Amino acid sequence: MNEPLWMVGTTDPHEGWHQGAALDMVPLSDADLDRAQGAAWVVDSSAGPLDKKRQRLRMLEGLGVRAALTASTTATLAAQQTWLTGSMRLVGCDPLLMMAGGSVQTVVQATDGDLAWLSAVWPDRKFVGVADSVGLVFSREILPIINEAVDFFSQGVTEDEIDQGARLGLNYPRGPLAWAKLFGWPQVFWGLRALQDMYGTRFQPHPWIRARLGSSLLDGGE
Amino acid sequence: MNIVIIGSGTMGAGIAQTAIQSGHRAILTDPDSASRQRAQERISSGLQRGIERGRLPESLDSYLDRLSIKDAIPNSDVNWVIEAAPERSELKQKIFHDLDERYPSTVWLASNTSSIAISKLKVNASRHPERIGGLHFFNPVPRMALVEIIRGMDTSDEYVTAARKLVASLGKTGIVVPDRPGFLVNRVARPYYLEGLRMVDEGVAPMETVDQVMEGAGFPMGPFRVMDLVGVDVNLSVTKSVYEQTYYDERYRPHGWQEQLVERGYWGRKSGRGFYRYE
Repeated sequence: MNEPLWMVGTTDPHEGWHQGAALDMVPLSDADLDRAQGAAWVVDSSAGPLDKKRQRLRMLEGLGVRAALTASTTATLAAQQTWLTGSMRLVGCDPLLMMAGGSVQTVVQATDGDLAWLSAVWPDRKFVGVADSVGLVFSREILPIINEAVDFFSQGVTEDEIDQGARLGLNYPRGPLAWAKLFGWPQVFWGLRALQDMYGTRFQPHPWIRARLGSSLLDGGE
Repeated sequence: MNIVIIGSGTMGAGIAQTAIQSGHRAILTDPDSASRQRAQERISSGLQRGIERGRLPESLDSYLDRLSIKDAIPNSDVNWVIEAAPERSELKQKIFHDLDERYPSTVWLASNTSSIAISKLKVNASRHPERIGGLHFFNPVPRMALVEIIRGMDTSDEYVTAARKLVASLGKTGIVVPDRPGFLVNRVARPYYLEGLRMVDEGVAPMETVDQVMEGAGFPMGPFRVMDLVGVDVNLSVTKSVYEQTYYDERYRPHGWQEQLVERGYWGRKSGRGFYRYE
């Protein structure tokens, strides 16, 4: 547990990932991936774009990385495994739940050994296994709530009133738009689009989100 | 101010209690004597608890002096009427027609409906539709800080201003929301319940895990515990109402599992069993 834990897929890892971590989590840009050569574990926190995530995981596998804790809310673990030859093991997780600092984290295909490692890295968090599905639990709950809230925002209800409504009327710990800011709108968009692909139009990202992000996130042939 | 509340169920009694706690006079009306009796007891015990815990500075008698519970609404000396009758469109439409005929335009009229469009409720109130809107309180009213102020079709700016003042005088935060099925709060909350139901049904995770995950992220209760608390039947009724009023938008489609529980009488904590068992 002395070596740092490399974190890829972001150059600015959210503090939710670091919260209570027993290891130094060191971000690695895609240009510096070779520093992770032979690492026992790497974290890939990215939810999109998926073509870049695929390319990154393949590079890590080529560098002899033995296992990756990978965000699996926008592509199932089964889908991510098809990108690789099988020499690098994958364990899925929900990056939004990590960012939210959830004390109960959902993981996919974690062995007892993996669970022991996860508990050693994040001793304050409990890890529970769930089925390999887009959205897992938390993202599937929170993203459509944000999408609904955006619908009101686009109709002129203020951000403050929307968030007050959820906090005071539902006792939610944050308002939906505050959640979106915590995650970042690209994460919200990628998550909703993956849910839409898997479960249908009820998850279609609100046009306001798409307009806000422009076309940049649609490039790259996800 | 003199506030008439129509309907002495849980919400009506809670609004009346909040009004008298805040220095207003409340006239709580209900044609059913048993319901009036229950409301009297509920309000008295709620006030007594508040006094014992030091939250309310006056004596019980002092608060109750500002409360009248009657079988019919008064004809005069009224500033606001808040309707908290059962969630049936036809009933509420008749109430608003009668109120609109009875009171001058200076009396503000509000519905505490949780999911029926305000514009629909006032279709038969054609004299002064501009003084009719929604004031959606949350249960338990004395403790929940939010009130949704709903502007229906033809509701005036003056109404919204008056509603904001009233809500502030009750010590609550008002947010102005559009007249859409479920308004803001019930609409935003629908996925919390529906996706929970769907993901358990699909085998993504058991309901205990779903609840634990959401509670671990700071939500006071996971979706299944919330549904059991508010009533599985009540929650389903709101979902159905939103689904029907949105012309069957896929996002709000009720889940069969919830329907089955309701049909079996598993309505949550109040019946001893809902998604969880409470015996």
